Amino acid sequence: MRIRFTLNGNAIEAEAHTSTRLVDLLHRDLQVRSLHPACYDGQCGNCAVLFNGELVYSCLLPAFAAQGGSIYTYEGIVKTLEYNDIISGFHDEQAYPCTYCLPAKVVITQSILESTVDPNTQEVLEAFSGTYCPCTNFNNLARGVIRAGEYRRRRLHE
Amino acid sequence: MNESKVFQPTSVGELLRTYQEYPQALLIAGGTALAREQKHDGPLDLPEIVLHINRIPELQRISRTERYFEIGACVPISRILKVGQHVLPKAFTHALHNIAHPAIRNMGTLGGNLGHRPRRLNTFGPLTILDARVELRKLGNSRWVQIPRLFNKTGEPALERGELISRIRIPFVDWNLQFYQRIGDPFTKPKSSLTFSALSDVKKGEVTDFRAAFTFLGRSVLRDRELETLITGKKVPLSERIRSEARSLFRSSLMGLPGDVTLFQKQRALRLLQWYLSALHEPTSELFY
Repeated sequence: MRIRFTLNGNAIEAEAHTSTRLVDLLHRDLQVRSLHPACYDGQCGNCAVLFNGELVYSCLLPAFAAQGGSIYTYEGIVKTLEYNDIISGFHDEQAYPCTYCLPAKVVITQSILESTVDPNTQEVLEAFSGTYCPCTNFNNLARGVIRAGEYRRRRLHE
Repeated sequence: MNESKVFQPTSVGELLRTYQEYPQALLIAGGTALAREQKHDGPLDLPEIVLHINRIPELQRISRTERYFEIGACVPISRILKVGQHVLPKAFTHALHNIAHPAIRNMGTLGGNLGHRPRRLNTFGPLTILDARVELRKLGNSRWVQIPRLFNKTGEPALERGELISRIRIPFVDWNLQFYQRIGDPFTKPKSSLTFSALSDVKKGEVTDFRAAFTFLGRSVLRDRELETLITGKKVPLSERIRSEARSLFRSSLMGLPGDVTLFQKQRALRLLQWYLSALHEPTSELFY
């Protein structure tokens, strides 16, 4: 089946079996290496992407669900100024995710900051409740996201 | 593995025509439950025909009147919470909040949660006691049914050929005590998990209305009308005699449940009900546990 969508702003036309999961299409066929097909159960968060602006786990979606949609992954976010906000916020609060889960944590943070640039701790912790890499202290992470929101607010008002 | 034929209709008319032609098709909106049922690496097991229904604007609408809130079957859970958080009944919004985590709530839909074949999921219990109705549509026909009527006594869908859930209507009714609790995860611990929803109206020290439902996150739902009648009209706090009568009434209803409900689930349900009845009191303001 032919599937057309945009990936990090680029138009993509891919051929995939109808039973292929989106994570497999992205990771295996389109070489999106920031995604890690791991649990296939929507529990670890390592396949998080922004699909039409919303945070989703690509292991739970069939690839054909991407038809006509827009997907942003870590690779797309890294190229933006928004990434700097996130990394600066993490750095300030000593939230240092491991290289395995950093992409997912950045994508989730981006989804939080797209809905509000002034999140509270509860909102942040809830957003991260679908991840379980224990590399980072979640309190530091929550403070890092809130700090990233401050960077973003400041940048948007400049 | 054979390739499935996937249809992606963009209007309700096109959807109903296609579904009439292929009533055996699997309907996928968010797809979360399907993928969570198949926790294995690699491809999904899909049937021959799949109808992907997430691109139909009519099924993604939310509207509100003075009397009710109406939600399209393919509205994601997170959008319902965003739009209806402060107006929808608390027992219902709490049930929605209890659905997994935000990423899954962004994908999962209310229609999918209600119509999930193997299990009665989070929203089934609260919507049952809230007297919510669903619109079932098929080509050339539509009808409204109450939530329990979605499935027959054996737990199989009671829908006609080519019929599907298109809207869910939730009436606004004042309940000054609303309660919802889910124990366990329906996908990973189906033999121990359950949901309990209760609505009570307590005025001038008396229960003027009471409703309760348990779903056992398999196919079983228990709403005990005799228990509801027993509690309605009684003074709060409920006397030991009433609570004991309620306990034995409910115990016999539990015994009548089919074999897929475990003894552990039954005991949990009984304890939850006992606790709820002992805690029932006159609220000083609208209260939600």
